[in-house]
Amino acid sequence: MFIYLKSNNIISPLGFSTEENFTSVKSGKTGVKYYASDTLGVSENFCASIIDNELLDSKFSLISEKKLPKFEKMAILSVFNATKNTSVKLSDKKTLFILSTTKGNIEYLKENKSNSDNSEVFLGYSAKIIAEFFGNTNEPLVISNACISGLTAAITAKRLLKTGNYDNIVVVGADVVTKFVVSGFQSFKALSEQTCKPFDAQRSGLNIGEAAATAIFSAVKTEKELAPGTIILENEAITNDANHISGPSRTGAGLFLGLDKILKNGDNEISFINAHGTATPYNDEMEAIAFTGAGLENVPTNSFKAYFGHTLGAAGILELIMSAVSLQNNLLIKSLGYEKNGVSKPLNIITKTQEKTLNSCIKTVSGFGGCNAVGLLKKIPD
Amino acid sequence: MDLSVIKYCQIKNNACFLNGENIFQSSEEKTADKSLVELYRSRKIKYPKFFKMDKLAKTGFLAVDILLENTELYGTEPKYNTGIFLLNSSASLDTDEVYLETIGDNYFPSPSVFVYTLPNIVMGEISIRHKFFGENIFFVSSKKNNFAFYDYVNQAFIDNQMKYAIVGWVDYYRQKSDALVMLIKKQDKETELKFEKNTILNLYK
Repeated sequence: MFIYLKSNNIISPLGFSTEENFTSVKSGKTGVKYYASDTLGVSENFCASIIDNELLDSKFSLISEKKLPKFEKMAILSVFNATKNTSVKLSDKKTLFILSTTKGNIEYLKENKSNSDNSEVFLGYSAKIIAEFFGNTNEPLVISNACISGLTAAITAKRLLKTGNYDNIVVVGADVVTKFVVSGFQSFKALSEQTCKPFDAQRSGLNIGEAAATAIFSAVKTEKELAPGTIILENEAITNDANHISGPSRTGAGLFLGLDKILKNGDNEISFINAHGTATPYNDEMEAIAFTGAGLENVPTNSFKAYFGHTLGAAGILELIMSAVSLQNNLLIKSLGYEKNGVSKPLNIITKTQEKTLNSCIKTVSGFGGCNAVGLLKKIPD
Repeated sequence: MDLSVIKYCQIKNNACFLNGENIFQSSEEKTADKSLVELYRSRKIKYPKFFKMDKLAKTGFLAVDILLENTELYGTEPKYNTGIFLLNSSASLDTDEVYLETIGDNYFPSPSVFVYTLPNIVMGEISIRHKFFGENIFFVSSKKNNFAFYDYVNQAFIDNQMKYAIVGWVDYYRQKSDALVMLIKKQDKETELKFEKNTILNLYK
C-alpha cells in the first residue's frame, strides 16, 4: 500500500498558501523578526516568526464569523485552504482529523485558583472545535510529542490508513508564540537574539515560530494509480535516545537508529536531507554526528528554521510539506543563516538555492524527552 | 494481528492494582502526590530521579515500573523492540498550571519545571529508566476509548515487528492520578486476555 500526500497548506508570516510560502522561501525571505521583551512580558528581547493578527482575522472572517482563539483560527483556515480544490469530504465518517501541537491554546491558561476552569485549554477540546467546524464527528486524535509531533502525526496517518479503516486523514499541525513558551525556552538559554543560524559556527540558539500546516494523506494499492510528481511517505522511524529528558544524546544514538532503519530498507539514493536544524549548539551537533554515522555527510542538507522559526507542533508537518514541494520543483533550498561550518562532523549544507533533479529526501526531527522521528519521502517519477 | 495483554497495572484514587488485585492503598486523606511517593517507597524502588519528576511523570513511571516487575523488560539492558504508546486527556496541564505561576508577578521561569510542560516527557523518563530505544508516542484525546489509538497500536505491531508494547492511559490533573498501563505482545495462545477495544474498556472500570 502507498501512502501519498493528497493536498496541503501552510499558513505562516510568509503566506497563507503553500505556494506563497514556497515563493517567499525561494527568494530568501524570512518570517523571523526582532521583538522587545515587553511585547510578551518576558525578561529578554527575542526573535520570532509571528503571524499578523489583523491579517489572520481578515482572512478568517471570509470563511466564518465564529469568535475563536488564534490557535483554532490558524488551524481551521489551514485545513480550509488545503481542501479548496480537492474532492476530500471532511465530514465523511472515513475521514479522521489528527491535530499535532505542543501547547494549543496555552495563552488562555488561568492560574489554578478556587477551581478556575481551564477546559478550553485541553488539547482534545481544540481538536474537536477544528474537526466539528468541518462537520466531522469522529473523535479526533491529538499528538503532543514535543518537537517531533508533526512528523509523528504524519507517520500515525500512514499507519491508520494501512488499517483500511480510513479513506483520508487530515493532519493539521499548529502552535502559537506565547509568553509561556518563549519564557520557557529563555529559561533554557535556548533562544537566539538574532535570526537563527543552523549548523553555523556562530549559531546561538533557536527562534520560536508560529504556523499552521495541513497535510491530507490517502492510500492507493499500487504505485501506478499515482500521477507523476506525487509524493509518498515511503518509510519512517520513531526512536528514543533513552538518555536525557531535556538535551539530545551526545552520540546521536536515537537519531542514528532511526536513519539506520530507513536506509536498511530499500534503495539508498537520497537527493537531500531536511534536518531539524534548530540552531541550538547541542541539536545541530547531535544531528551532524548521527548523519555522519549513517553515511549521509555528503548528502545536500538544509534546515528551514531561519525562514519560519521553530514552529514546534507544526514544524514536522510544515517542513515535510516544504520538502515535498522542493522535490516536486526539483529545487534544493538554501539553508538560510549558514555561512561557516560549526559542527564537529562537517555536513554538505546547501548554501545556494539551485535546480537539480530530485527524487527522494529524508526529513528528521528531534525533541525534548529524547524523541526522534525520521521520514523518507519519495517522488513518483515522470 | 491478535494481541494479548500479559499484565496490567492501575493507579487510581490513592490505590494501585496489579492485574486487578489491590497491591497498595494509601489513606484517603493523603493527597494524590503524597500517595505516589508512598507507593514508590512501598515497592522499594531505588531511583532518586523519581523525586525530580512532575506528578504526571511520577504516575506513569510508577505504573510502568510496577507493570514491568519480574519481566525481562525490567532494568537497563538496551531494548529496541518495545514500543510505548500512551494516551490522556489533560496532556501536561497540571504542570502547565504550576509553570504559569512562575511567569506571573514573580517572574522566575525554571527550566526544570518547563521541561515537564510536555506530556511525552513521561515516556522519556520511562525510556531512560529501562533503556527503551524503540518507538514512543504520546496521544491526547478527551475519550479513553479513542478507537484510532487502538488501531494505531495494532498497526505499529505489524509494521515494526515489535516484541512488546507498553500501552495505556496515564493522566494527572489537580490532585487526581489515573493510570492504566498494559504490557502487550503478539498473541500465541487463545486463552490469553485479548487486547481489544472491549477488553480495555472493561479493565478501565
